[in-house]
Amino acid sequence: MIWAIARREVLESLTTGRSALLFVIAVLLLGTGLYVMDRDYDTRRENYDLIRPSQDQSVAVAPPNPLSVFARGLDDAMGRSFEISVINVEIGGSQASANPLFGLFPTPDWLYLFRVVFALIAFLFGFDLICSEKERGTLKLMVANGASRGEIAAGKWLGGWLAFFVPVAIAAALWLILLRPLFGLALSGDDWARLAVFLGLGSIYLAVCYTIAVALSALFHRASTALVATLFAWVLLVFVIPSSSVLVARQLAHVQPLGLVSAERWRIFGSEMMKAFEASNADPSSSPFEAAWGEMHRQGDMVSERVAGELGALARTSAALVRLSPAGAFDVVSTGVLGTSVAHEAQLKLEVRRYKNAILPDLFSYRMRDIEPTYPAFTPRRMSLADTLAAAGADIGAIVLAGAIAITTLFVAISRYDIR
Amino acid sequence: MLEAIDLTKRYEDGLLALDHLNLKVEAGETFCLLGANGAGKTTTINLFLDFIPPTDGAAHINGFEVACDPLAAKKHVAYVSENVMLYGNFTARQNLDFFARLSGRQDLSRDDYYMVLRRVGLQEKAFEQRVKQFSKGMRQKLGIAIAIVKDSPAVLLDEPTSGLDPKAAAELMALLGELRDDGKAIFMSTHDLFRAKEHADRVGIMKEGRLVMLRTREELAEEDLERLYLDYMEVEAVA
Repeated sequence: MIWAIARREVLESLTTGRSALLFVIAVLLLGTGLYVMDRDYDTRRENYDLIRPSQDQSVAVAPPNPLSVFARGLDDAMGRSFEISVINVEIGGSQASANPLFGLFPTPDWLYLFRVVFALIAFLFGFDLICSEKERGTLKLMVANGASRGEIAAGKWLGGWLAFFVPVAIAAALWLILLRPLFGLALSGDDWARLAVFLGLGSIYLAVCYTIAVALSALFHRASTALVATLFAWVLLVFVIPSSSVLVARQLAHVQPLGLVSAERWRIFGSEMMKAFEASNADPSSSPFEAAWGEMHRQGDMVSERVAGELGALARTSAALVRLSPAGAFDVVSTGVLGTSVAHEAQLKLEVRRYKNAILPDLFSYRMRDIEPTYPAFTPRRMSLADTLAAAGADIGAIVLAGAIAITTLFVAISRYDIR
Repeated sequence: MLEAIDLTKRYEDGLLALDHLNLKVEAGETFCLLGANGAGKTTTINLFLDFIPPTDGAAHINGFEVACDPLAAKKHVAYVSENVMLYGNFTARQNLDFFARLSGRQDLSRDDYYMVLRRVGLQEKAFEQRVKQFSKGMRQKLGIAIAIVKDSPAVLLDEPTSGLDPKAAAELMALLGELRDDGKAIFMSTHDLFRAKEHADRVGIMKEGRLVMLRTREELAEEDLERLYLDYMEVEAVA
C-alpha cells in the first residue's frame, strides 16, 4: 500500500517533469558552485605559495583546506599568516582571493546550496503533499479504497522524498566523480570520509526540511495557505533563527573588544620594556631584555587564553541557540566535519601559540647572537573526524530531534485531518 | 450488506446532521436516498466510509462495523463521488491501476484495465489519454471503472448523475444496473427523482437528518414520486 502510493508520487513527478527539472537545476547549481569555489581555492593555494614562509622566517601559516571548496566557513581567517616576533604575534597577509564580491554575496559552496537552496526546494516539494490531495478530491478516494491515513502519510512522504532526493543525489554524485578529472582537486582518504559524512548529514538535513513541509501540508486544507506557512518556516529556520541566535549570544556572552585587547598588549609591552630599560640603566652589564620578552609573551598568552575563552563561550552560546534551527545546526556540524568551523579556527590559534612558544627560545637566541635563523616548519594538526563527530553530537541530535518532531506532527495531523 | 443502526451524527457546532438512521441495503439491491441539500445524505455516506466518526449508533458493511474496523469494512465497499476527481496528469489506465493497487489488486494486466474501461463505455482512444482532458461524464465512468476493478460487494455513490447530460446519466445508471445484477448492493444519494424511480429497488427520503419515507419499487409504481417528495419536504418529519 505504502509503495503503491509512493510509486504514484514518483510517477507524477516524472510525468510532470518536476524531477527532471530539479536534476537540471541541481547539476547547474552544484557544478557552478564547485567551479567558483575551486577557482577560489586555486587562488588561495597560489597565495599560500607566495606567503609560505622560508626556514628563516618565524611565521606560522596553514595551507588552505581543499574541503573549503564544499564549505568555506572560516577558511579565509584560518589562512592568515601569523608573524611571530620577540615582541608579539602579528597577523600578516591572507590567502583570501581579492574578489570583493565574495564579501557582498553568500559564498556559493555546497553547504550554502544545501542549507538554503535545496532546503527551499525540499520545502516546495513537500508543502502540498497532503492538502493538494484533499483539494483535488483524491484523498477521499484513497481512504475509501482502503488506504489508512498512516499509509497515505508514509507513502506520500516516501514518494515525494524519492522524487526530490534522487535527482539531487545523482547530480551530486556526478560532480564528485568529475572532481579530479575536471577540477584537479585531489582529496585524501580522510577528506573523502569527511565529505561522505557531510553529504550524509546534508541528506538528513534535507529530509528534515522536507518532513517539516509535509507536516505543514497536513496542518492546512488549502495549498495556498500551506505555501505561505512553508515559506515562513523556511525563512524562520534558515535565516531568522541562525542570524538572531548569533546576535542574542553576543548580548549574553561577554567578549572584550579587540581594541581593548590590543591596548592591553601594548600596556604589557610598555611596562615590561620600561622595567628592562630601568634594569639595564641600573646595571649596564646586565641583559634584562630576554627575560622581559619572555614575560611579555607569558602575559600575552594569558590575554590570548582569556580572549579565546571568551570567544569560546560566545561560540558555545551561539551554537546552543543556533541549534533551535536545523539549518543552524547543519551549518555548525558541516563546517566542523569539513574543518572550517569556529572550533577549527580556535584550534589553529592554539597551535600557533604552541608553535610560538616552541620557537621562542630560538627566536631570542638568534636575535641576541645576530645569526641566520632556522625555524621548524609550522604543521598544524587537524581535529580528527571522530573527535569532530563526538563534539558535534548535540548538533546532529538537534537535526534528528527536529525531524522526529516533524514526523510526529505529520502523523498526529493526518490522524485528525478532515478529509471531506 | 450495508446496514445503519441508529446511526447518528452531531457536528461540533451542535448541528444534528443524522438522527438515528436505520436502514439496510441487501446484495443485488439499489437503494436511492433522496432529500434536500443538508438533509443528511452525504453525512450518511461519509459515516459508511469512515470519513467522519458517528456520534451514536453504527454503520456496518458486510458485517464489519465501520468505526471499529474501518480498513476491513472498506475492503467491501467502493465509492463514487459527485465529482470524480482523479490525477489529471495520469491516463485513465494509470488512474485505474493506482486505485486497483490501493484496493489490493496487484494482479491486473493492461488488458484487464482496458476490458473494464470498455465495459464502462469509455472510448478506446481515451484509455491512454490524460484524465485532465476528460469531461465530467468520462470521469464518472472512470469512477465506476475503479469501483468495478475493486470488485467489492457494495458500492456507495454520492449524487453520481449530478451535472451529467441526460445521455451520460442514462449510461451511468445502466452501468449501475449491471452492477446490481451482478449482486452488488448499490447505495446512492441523488436529487434525480426520475432516475431514482426508474432504477431503484427502494427509495428513501431524508429530511433534517431523519429518514421520513421509504418505498419499494412496487409501491412507487402506484405513486407520483415527485408529489411524494414535495409533500414530505413541506411536512414535519414523521419517522
